[in-house]
Amino acid sequence: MSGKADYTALEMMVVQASRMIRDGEVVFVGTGLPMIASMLAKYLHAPNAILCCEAGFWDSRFLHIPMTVGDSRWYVGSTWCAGQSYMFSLLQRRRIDLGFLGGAQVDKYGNINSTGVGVQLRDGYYVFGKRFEGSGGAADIASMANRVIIMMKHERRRFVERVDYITSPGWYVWLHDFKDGRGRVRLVPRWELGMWGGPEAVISTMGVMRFDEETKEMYVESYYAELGITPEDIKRNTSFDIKVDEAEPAEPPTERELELLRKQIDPEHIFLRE
Amino acid sequence: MSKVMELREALKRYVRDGSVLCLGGISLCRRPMAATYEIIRLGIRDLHLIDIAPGMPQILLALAGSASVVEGCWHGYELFGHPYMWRNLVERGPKETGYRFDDESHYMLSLRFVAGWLGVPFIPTYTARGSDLWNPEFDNLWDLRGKRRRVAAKKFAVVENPFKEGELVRLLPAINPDVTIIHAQMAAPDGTTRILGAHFDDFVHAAAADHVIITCEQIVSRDTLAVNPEMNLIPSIYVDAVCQVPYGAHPGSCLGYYDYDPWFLNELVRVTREGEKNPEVFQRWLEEWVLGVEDHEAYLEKLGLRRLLALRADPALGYAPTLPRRLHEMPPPP
Repeated sequence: MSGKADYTALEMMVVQASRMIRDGEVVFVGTGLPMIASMLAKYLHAPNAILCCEAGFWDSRFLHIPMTVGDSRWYVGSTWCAGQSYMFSLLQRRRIDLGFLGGAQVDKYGNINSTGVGVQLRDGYYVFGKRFEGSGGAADIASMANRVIIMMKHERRRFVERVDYITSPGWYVWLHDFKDGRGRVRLVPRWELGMWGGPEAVISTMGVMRFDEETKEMYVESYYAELGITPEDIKRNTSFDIKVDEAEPAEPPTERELELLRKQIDPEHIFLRE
Repeated sequence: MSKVMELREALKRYVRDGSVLCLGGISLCRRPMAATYEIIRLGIRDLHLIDIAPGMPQILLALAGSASVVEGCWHGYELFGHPYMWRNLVERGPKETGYRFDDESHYMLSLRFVAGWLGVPFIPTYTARGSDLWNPEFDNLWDLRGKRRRVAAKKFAVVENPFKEGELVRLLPAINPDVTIIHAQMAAPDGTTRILGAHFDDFVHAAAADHVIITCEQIVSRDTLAVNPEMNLIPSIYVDAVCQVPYGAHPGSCLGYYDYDPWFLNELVRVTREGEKNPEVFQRWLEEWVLGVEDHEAYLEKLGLRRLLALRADPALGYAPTLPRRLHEMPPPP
């Protein structure tokens, strides 16, 4: 990438994500960029945001950045700690305002695949051409958080027309018809399944995408102009036809945001290395 | 009555070929790793693994050939690297490898354990609607259903909510493992178990199981744990064996005692990454750190005092604040 920026794409992603967090929200974060984004938001415009994680830590004020789910660093400053069934039940009770997700593939409706690509039935078993880690809590967060933000590397093979496997449901899903037996699929909007929430934005290494109110298809809201990205770059790196005509250059990070990220939040450069 | 015994004795007594086994903790934290290594040493086979937060120990049991059925949701090492070799096992498929991995989500597994704890046969949920986790075509245990012990007759059922007309509800079968193994900070000889920090659902892991083995950093007296009993997670009734196994979660962390071991985890990921091309590399590692090591004490001796001290937790924080963690440029191990 070329451009005049003195910051990286990862830092830009974190800043974009941070700005979407509202004060007072309960944010379900995994480890990695979402956690850093949430911390940044807490330092700036959302001091009352509450961070929680699947391992069970609540409202942590960690001094060092946790590196794993359940990292002991979460413990410091937490006002409660429990376990997975407690945390995921908050999702099912619609008490989690915002969840973050990533994955290997995302499609135009915001379905995410973090299970594997090239799924096929072989000898009656499902197998993958390439297998990934799996859902973990992703399917739970995608289906039951009130808002979801997706963070992904922007590559053609990752932004696809239809994901090979829906780990985490987006706005429209290919649903199996339980009544009529195996193998019959139809495209259904999530609200027809009685679901709430849904993906609000996709923050990639190239720009920020949103979903059209009517069609629920992904479009480009902004692109990282200072990092040398153009709307055409995003189009070229997206394998479905994505609307870019409303796209605007993204608001760059402020000095304060970058300073907090580099000196305060991830001084060990565990996550924000290039 | 004292339930204190050696780890090997406890495993021989409760874990058999074909057992349904649950391993407590989450991801790289407070996992019963010493027990995992010992299961591999004992040559126990055909295990059916299930717990809310699978990962490192389940991957090792798969690669060592100890497990053949897994109901899980996630296998990996987080920032340390991808689940190399394991992913190849899954890609090749059950027919070729004899290893089955069936996908669920964290919450699906949590709820199945909650049902197991409550003693009810199934539990309804709204979770993961629209996900292929509910795709009836994707069931890698289909040919074991109704045949193998403790494999549910169906992966799930979809029914109309009897209390709300027209609403479809998904039901998940309860889980009752034969044995749950949990690594805790402290336990008393009667089995009372205290876990510091987040408990990672280890109460339901224990309460759903027929037998529970606790490995712990320290065995303390019943009277010690009778002070602030609200801090105790698992009452004695659920527990069958208590084994004192210091550093029993290494290379993972144990809050208040030690941190994760980034050198060891980097190495484990390296040998599995290289093992994808040359399985010998992993086999040598397994021989060096598991099979060729007499027991956990010998494992700790092999790690060495300097390493253990480097991982030791700061008592005020619960972890090792000066531990090097830039994984791509780690200094040499102490």
